[in-house]
Amino acid sequence: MKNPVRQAMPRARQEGLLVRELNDETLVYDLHRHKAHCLNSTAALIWKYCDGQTSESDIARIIEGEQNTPVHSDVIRFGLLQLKRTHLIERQITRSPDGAFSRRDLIKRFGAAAAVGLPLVTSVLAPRAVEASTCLGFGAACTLNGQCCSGLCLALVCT
Amino acid sequence: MLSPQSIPVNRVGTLVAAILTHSWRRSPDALECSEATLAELLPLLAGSMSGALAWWRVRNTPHLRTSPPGLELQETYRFHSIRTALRENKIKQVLTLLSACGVEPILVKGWAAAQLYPEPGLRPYGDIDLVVRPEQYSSAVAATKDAGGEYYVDVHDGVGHLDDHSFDDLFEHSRVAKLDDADVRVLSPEDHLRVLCKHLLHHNAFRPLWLCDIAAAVENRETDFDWDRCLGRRKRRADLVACAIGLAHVLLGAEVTDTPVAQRAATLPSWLVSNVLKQWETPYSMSQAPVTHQAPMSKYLRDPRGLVADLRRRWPNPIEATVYVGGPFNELPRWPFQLGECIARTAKFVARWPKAR
Repeated sequence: MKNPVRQAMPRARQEGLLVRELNDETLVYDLHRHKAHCLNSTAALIWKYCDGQTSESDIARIIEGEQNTPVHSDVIRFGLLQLKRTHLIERQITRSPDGAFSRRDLIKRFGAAAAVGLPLVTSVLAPRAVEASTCLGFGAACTLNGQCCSGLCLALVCT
Repeated sequence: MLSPQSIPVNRVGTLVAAILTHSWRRSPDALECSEATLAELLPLLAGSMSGALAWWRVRNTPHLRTSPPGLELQETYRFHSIRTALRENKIKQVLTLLSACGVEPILVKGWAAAQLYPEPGLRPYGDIDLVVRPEQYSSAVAATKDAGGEYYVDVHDGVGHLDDHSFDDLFEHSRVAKLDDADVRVLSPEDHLRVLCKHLLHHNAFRPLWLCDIAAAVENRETDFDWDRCLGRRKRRADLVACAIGLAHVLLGAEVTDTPVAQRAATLPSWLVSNVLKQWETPYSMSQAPVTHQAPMSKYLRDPRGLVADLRRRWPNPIEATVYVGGPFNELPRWPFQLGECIARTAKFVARWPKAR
C-alpha cells in the first residue's frame, strides 16, 4: 500500500493573504488571523509550488533543479508542516509516522551546512523598539496624528 | 558631509545622520559603526520610523548584519514592509470610495514619498494624507469617515500651510502613479519636493526620515526636473526650500551638484544644522510641542503654579520660529524671531481669552 503522505498534493491558501516579496524572503500577512509570517527562500519556493497538483516528491525534484542541490523530500515535508501550522496551505499534511521533523533532527541528518537551506517560517512581531516608542492616549494634546495611539489627532487633541 | 568625528557636540544626532547617510539608495555603502553604538541607537531609530532604513545600510555590513541590534532592525524592516502592504490595501479601498462619489484626491507625503525608495517598506508612514478640492471636502470626509479603520485617513482642503499653490494649479501639474491596478494621483516631483521641504522645516526637522525623503526626491529627480517650478518666484520661500535640501546634503550626503541649490547647501547657517542635530537626539512626536507642554495656558489663569517652567518649554524652536515669522535663514541671531512667534501666539491666546477662561 502506498504511503498516503507521499501522495499529498498540497495547495497554497489563496484567500485572505497579503504577500510581499522581499530580496531573499517572502512576507505573508494573514488578513483573517491578523498574523504576519516570514518565509525564507526555501519555504517560499515550497509554498510557490503548492498548486494542488504537485506532490511533495515532485516539489522536491523541482526545487532540486532550481537550486542545483539535492533536496530530500523530508525537507519539503518539514516546510509543508510549518506552512500548514501557520495556515498557509489548505490541504492536510500528515506527519510521517517514522519521520522526525524538528529542525534539529534534520540538521543532525543532513549536517549543519544544510541548516541554511532548510525551510523556515517565522512570525513577524512588532519589534520591541517600535513598540517602545510611546504614544499619547485619549484627550492628550497633539499636533500630528502619529503622536496619538489612536492615530487620530483632531482639533489638537488625541481622540 | 558630516562624520561622527567632525562634530563633537550633538553626538547622538550626528550618529543618526551617519547611519542614515545614503540609506535611501539602492545599494548604500557598508556602515562604519560598532555593534555597541548600533545597539545604543536602536530604540531611537526604530522609534522614529527610521529602523527599516537603518537595516538597509546594516544589511550591507557583514559585522552588523547578524548582530542582535542588526537582527532587530531586520525585524523592524519586515514589520514595516507588512504594514506598508496593509496601508496600500487601505489606500486602494479609500480611493475607490472617493471615486464613487466623484472625488479625485491628490495623495501627498506618506505613500507618495515611499515611492522614492528602493522598496516601499523602507519608508513607513502613519496616516494617508489626501488633498481634495475645497468644494469637495465635505463629501470626501463623509465618504472616508469609516474607511480609515486602524489607519487614519487625513483629508485636507488644499495643502494649507504647506504650500501657497492653489489646488487647481497642483492638480494641473500632478501625475498619476500606479498602485497595483489602481491609479493614485500624486503631486508633480517639483511640487512634491517643495512640500516635503516646507513640511520638514515647519515641524523643526525633528524626524530624520523626512530629510531622507528630501534626499531621495533630489537624487531620483528626472532630467527634465523644473527647478523654477520647485523653488517658485518668492525669494524667501525658495531659500527655505534650498535650505531644506542643503540640510539633506550636509547631514545625509545627498548629491546636489548641478542643482541651483548647490551653493546654498554649502553655506547653511550654523544654527540650522546644530538645531536639527539636537532635534535628532529625541526624534519622536512625543518630544514636540504641544505634547511637551505641562498644561494649557488657560489652566495657569486659574492657578499660576508651574507657569514659569512651562513658559520655558514653550520657548519656540529657532527653526519653527523662523518659518512661522517668515524670517530669513541667515546667520543672525534667532531670538527676535522666537520672540516674534511668542508675541504672535500670545496675541492669539488673548484674542481667544474669553473662550479659554
